[in-house]
Amino acid sequence: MKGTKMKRLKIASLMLGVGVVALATTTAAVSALTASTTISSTISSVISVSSNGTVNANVTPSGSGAQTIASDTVTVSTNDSSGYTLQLGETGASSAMTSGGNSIAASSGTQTTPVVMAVNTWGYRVDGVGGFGAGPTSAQSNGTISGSIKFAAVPASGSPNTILTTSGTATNSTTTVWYGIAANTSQPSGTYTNSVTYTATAN
Amino acid sequence: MNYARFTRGYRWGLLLLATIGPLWLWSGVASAAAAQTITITPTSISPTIDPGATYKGSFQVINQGKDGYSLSIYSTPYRVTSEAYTPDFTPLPNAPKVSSWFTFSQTSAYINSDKTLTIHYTISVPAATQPGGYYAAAFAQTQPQTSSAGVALSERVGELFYIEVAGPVVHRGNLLSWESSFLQQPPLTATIRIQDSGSINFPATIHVAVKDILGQDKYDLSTTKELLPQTIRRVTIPWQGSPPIGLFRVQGTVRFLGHDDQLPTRWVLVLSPAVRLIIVAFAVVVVFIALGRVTYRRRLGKHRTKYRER
Repeated sequence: MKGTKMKRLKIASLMLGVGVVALATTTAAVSALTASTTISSTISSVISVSSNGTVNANVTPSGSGAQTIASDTVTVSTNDSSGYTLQLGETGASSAMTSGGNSIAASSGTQTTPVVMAVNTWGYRVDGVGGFGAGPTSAQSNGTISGSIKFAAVPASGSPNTILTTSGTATNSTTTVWYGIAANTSQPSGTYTNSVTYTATAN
Repeated sequence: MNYARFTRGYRWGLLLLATIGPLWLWSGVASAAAAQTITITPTSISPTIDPGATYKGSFQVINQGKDGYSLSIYSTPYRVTSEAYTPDFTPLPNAPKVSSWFTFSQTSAYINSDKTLTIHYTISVPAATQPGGYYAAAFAQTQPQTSSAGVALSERVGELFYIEVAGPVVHRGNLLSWESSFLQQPPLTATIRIQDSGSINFPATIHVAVKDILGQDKYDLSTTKELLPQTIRRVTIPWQGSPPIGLFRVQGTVRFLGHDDQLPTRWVLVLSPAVRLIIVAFAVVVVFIALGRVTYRRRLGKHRTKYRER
């Protein structure tokens, strides 16, 4: 009886010993196979901007003045966590729309104090920005001059107006910019142009 | 008879589709082709340059649009106006003309669709420049389509240069305020103001978290803002997804110049105008019901008194 117990104890001890050795061997083998690699990658910051290229706002003038309002969509994307600032300003020195020697003056309004469009002027607005009000602005062709939708002159290129600023990254973030032109029959006919630049910079 | 009418109508429909379809497709293509996309990378850089030394670097301009276009490359001064940090690219009188320190490998180019253009630049700091921060922007700008009528649009993207002219500079800044008023309309907004009172720019990393009354995360934003010397920057953080009603805790941290500031917790009750109107209407109804009950009880009391007197 005592001999059987001893035999079982010996077998158990032997099995435990074999187990410990096997575990130690496996651990050593795993340790030998383990290696670490640090993977690093620097993702560059990017910012992009796009627009429609041209806004055509043709006017057939009337005696009291006709107004055409058309829009452009500006799209900005950035992976910069500081966000971005989108601005709008003149490309050149002139704020008027010109056609040879004739011109359509810029609106007398500013972003903070926009005004209802006077005849033979042009301007821009962005709903919900500065003093423009919520709108909503809608496109119109040769309509009567709106008494409630206000416009501002496009500022000089060096000090553009901010139309959107964000706090974080953006993917295809869009801003609708409206352009309005009002003319009466005293405005000489012609193809009037002006150039506006959108500026996108990270914050 | 009906079948013949149907067949005739079907033919007219096909004819109409054949006429209008290509026109519709053409207009779509024309509108898509007009769009031009310009990308610049990186968006900012902070080189340190010794007085009298030069720094060479590069940035890339990418055309991700469908058509090629001409572009121009140039530098401008960079400064900010107001606490809103409105970028301004005009020089300050009597300030060093930092934009004149730049020379570019090319100042104009044509870039095809899906192509990348690498622009190399050299910044030459005049020897007599005082140590401190100097700021400029390098722009890549598309050329407007001059032949078209109406408003011709061009786009420009800029890389901002935060240049440190080496030497003894003062790094100093402080947190001025942290606000998020108790009663707000959506979007829930928090505002933080930080001042740079030194002679060099520094980045401030802001982290704001909005939790509901059970402590569950509802909104989280981490953003890094650069501060220019001798300016105060107001950073407004709106939670655009704010619900029309709710009670929230706004917490945050701000880290700059090597130290962290734990922003005190602000409780904010968000009520949209519609919810406020409903609450006011409900209150008015409750008041009317209460007044009605009081009046009814008084009348009932008078009736009982009369009845007892009889």
